[in-house]
Amino acid sequence: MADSSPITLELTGALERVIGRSHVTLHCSQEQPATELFRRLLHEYPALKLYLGRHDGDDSERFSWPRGFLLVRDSQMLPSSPDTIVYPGDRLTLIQMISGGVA
Amino acid sequence: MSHEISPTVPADSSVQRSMPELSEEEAETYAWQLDVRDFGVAGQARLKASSVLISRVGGIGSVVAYELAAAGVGHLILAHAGAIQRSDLNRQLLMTAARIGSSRVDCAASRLQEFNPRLRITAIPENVGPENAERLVGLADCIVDAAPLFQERLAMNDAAAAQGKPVVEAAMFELEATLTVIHPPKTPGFRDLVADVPPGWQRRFPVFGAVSGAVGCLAALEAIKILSGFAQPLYNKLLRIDLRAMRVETIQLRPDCPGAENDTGSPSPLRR
Repeated sequence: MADSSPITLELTGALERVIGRSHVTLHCSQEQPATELFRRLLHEYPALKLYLGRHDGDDSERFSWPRGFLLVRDSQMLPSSPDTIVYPGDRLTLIQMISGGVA
Repeated sequence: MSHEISPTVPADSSVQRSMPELSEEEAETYAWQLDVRDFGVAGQARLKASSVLISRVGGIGSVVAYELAAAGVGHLILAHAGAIQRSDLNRQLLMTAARIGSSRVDCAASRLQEFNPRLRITAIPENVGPENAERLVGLADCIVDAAPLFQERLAMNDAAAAQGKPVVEAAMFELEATLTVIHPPKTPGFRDLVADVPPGWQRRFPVFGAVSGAVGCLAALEAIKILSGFAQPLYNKLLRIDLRAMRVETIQLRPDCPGAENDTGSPSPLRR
């Protein structure tokens, strides 16, 4: 994985519908916690806060992990943990686990 | 309040059961599937002795119920509140236009009984929630979860985990679907995958009946595999189906779960 390669994130289900795109790219110059990736995702696509944000609307410092979604890399679920690291060049998918989300 | 139709087999899954004999009528009805490799008469007898709770008989659950009734599962417990609406009819295949405004679960039960008169049906006009999950899960050997709300799924999975029962988890959105089996410790617990309810979640979503039908058939097959103890259920794996692009991906869940060890087949949860 080359440095400075963007991370490609595939969005499924309600997330894809909310922003009208199945894939987004997020700049990534070095390995970082997945929670940082989510924080930047919400910063660039604030419409996703409805589904990925916190109940209290605070996604700045204490944002943790999207509820009801699995983060997948190379057909493997990544642990829903603050210790999970993502890397430049990663191709990730956020998979919705439950029917529903947005009409 | 629930009512029963055609009781034929005991429902208490904690009871030691001997496998029932197949009648001539059953042997004739299931002749084509009795020849399925590794299934046979023993698998059919296990299905006959088994009970399945289906949480909601809507788009996914109605097809699950239909396929399990066709396969010869002995007892179906159907849980679904509310009355049939016209907008149900693009996907809820056990409902009829003539019965709009009447009970969904009663309509589903009568359609299933017409299809398979030997089937025992317990029709419960309630959705599964924290107040009834323990009782409803206690009626079944296996649960198929086709509910659209996180609260229902969490309550049912909590009860199933406490009672050591497998849950087939099926879900859909538009042209996408997911399917997995939850049965700790050989799989993650549902709360390991879905710890909490996301904010802003809505019950309504876009979908074709053909999508719910597709995932419903697959969910029914998972229940058949689990109950009859043959083939490879989706233990510790999640099937992701993208019907817009016709892509299917099998995702490994937790590497520390021993689900993969069951790839050569798994014992039926029925005690015998």
